Amino acid sequence: MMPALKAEFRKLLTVRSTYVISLIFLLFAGFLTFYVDAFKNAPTETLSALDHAKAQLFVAGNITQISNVLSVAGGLIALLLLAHEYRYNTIVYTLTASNRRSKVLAAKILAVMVYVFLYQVLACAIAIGLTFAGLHASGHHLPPQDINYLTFFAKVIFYGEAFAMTGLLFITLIRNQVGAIAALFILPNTVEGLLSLLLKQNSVYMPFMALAQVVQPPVIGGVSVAAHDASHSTGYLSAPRGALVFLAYIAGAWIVAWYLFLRRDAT
Amino acid sequence: MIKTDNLRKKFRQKLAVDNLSFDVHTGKVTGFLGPNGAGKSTTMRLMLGLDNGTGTTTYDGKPLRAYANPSKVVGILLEAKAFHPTRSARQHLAVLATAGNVPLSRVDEVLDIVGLREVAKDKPGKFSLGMSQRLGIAAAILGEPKYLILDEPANGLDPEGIAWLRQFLRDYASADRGVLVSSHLLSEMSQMADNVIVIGKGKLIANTSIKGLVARSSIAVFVRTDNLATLEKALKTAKLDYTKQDGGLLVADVKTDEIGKLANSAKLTVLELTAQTASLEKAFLELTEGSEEFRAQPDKEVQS
Repeated sequence: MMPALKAEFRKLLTVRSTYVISLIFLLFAGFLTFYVDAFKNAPTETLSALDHAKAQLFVAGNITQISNVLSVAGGLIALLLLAHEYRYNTIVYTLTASNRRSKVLAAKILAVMVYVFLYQVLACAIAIGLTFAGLHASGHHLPPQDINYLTFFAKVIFYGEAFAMTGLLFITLIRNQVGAIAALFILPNTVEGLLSLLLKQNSVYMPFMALAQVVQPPVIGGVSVAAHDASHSTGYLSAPRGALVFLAYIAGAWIVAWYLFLRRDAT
Repeated sequence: MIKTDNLRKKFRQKLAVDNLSFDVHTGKVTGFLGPNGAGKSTTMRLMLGLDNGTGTTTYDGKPLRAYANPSKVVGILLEAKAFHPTRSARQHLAVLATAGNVPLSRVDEVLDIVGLREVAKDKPGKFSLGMSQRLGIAAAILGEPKYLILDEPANGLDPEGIAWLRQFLRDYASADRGVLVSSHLLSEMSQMADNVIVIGKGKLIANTSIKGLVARSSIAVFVRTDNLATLEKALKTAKLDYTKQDGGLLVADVKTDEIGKLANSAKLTVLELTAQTASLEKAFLELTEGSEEFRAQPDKEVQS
């Protein structure tokens, strides 16, 4: 297992796309956090009660935003780790070097999880740093922030890992780079967005809408801002429930994907 | 020894490999021949567990998955361009070495062996087909495996490269290791391989030595005598097929001894008697006749 794991890390770190995607998404998320949110749109001094509650979650909101953006990068990087193998047919080497296909898939999952963990930690650090830098540059001041950083980081990392596993899942099932990337972009937003028009309150039980609940800002004074904000059309779930709903979907899909990875021709 | 037993693979309605069984022995280079679409590549993939079919393949009595480190058992080259185009040649091999638990120092060794040391840092996406083949061969021998399974490794190599490959594979096999190599270059195969396995439409047609394969092919004898008409009469009486050629007769499916005796019994003076030995190409074409998946129609004019 260790050789396979080391090889997956080496693959991840010796292709240009890993660095290009990581950097582009970091720059984009950094710009959003520093300029758009902290510099231009920081909360003003006169706030309603609800806006005040929201202002107390300003940093949390920015971390959520940056992690949302970077989770797409994590998903893409995870997807490309296997997509390149099929596209350039190096999968034949990977599979013959190991005596179990399961080891190969497990090594890929672990490598991706470690990379995404580090990437999300970096994202959180950048989000906090750039938020305060932007506020400082614009001269805005925030009310005391009500955020349990450890819990929130855990949620953000869960969100990032979830997207990475989704990217890897799509390429394992589809085995085509373009198709898997399209699925990664279309299913969570477009498809679920359209389905939510039909499902209304129950939309929140769709996998990616449930996942989004995980990183909703926490409850303040017994009132969940997310619940208040949650447009009544999509419903609301607590973070643990959202995580469980998503995990149920992804676990089911991975059972199918794993079986297919073991059984299908390596092409 | 690699032993394949009843390999079978079906793609929807098409049977690509049909109960194929053969052995690849150590100490020998085994050629794998067959027309396009005969199932050579699919067979190799089945042998490696890359395709999902039926049948078994064992390496020294055990399936590949029974070995802790398969890279030490078999090295493969199934496609010349199987590499990430922007990962350098050295990094490509380093990834494979890591996966196969092979020391990274071996990477430079194999780059030296295949003559790619100078371009080790280059991205292989711009490599010629010949250079890609060399990189593929380097990947195959990385773990110093006991067996090599190579699909068309000579494609794209220049004459020097082909000569090098021929000698390399012979040397490799001579160290009590086995090599299975497919090729369309029959002249190359005749110089490279000790044994040949010929398949057509997924079925085994022949599994023999090169000499045995050629010997199995129909042979002919060219004979010239002082009286051709008498010889023709004698051949007709003996029910032998012949054609006129270069002032003599070319007699099919016969040995020189028989023609010599026939001429003697007809009291003819033999001026020339030559066995026309078949080439590997001729033998191959005869063996695989009717089993080609794709066949050109030379009589049809090209439509403008």
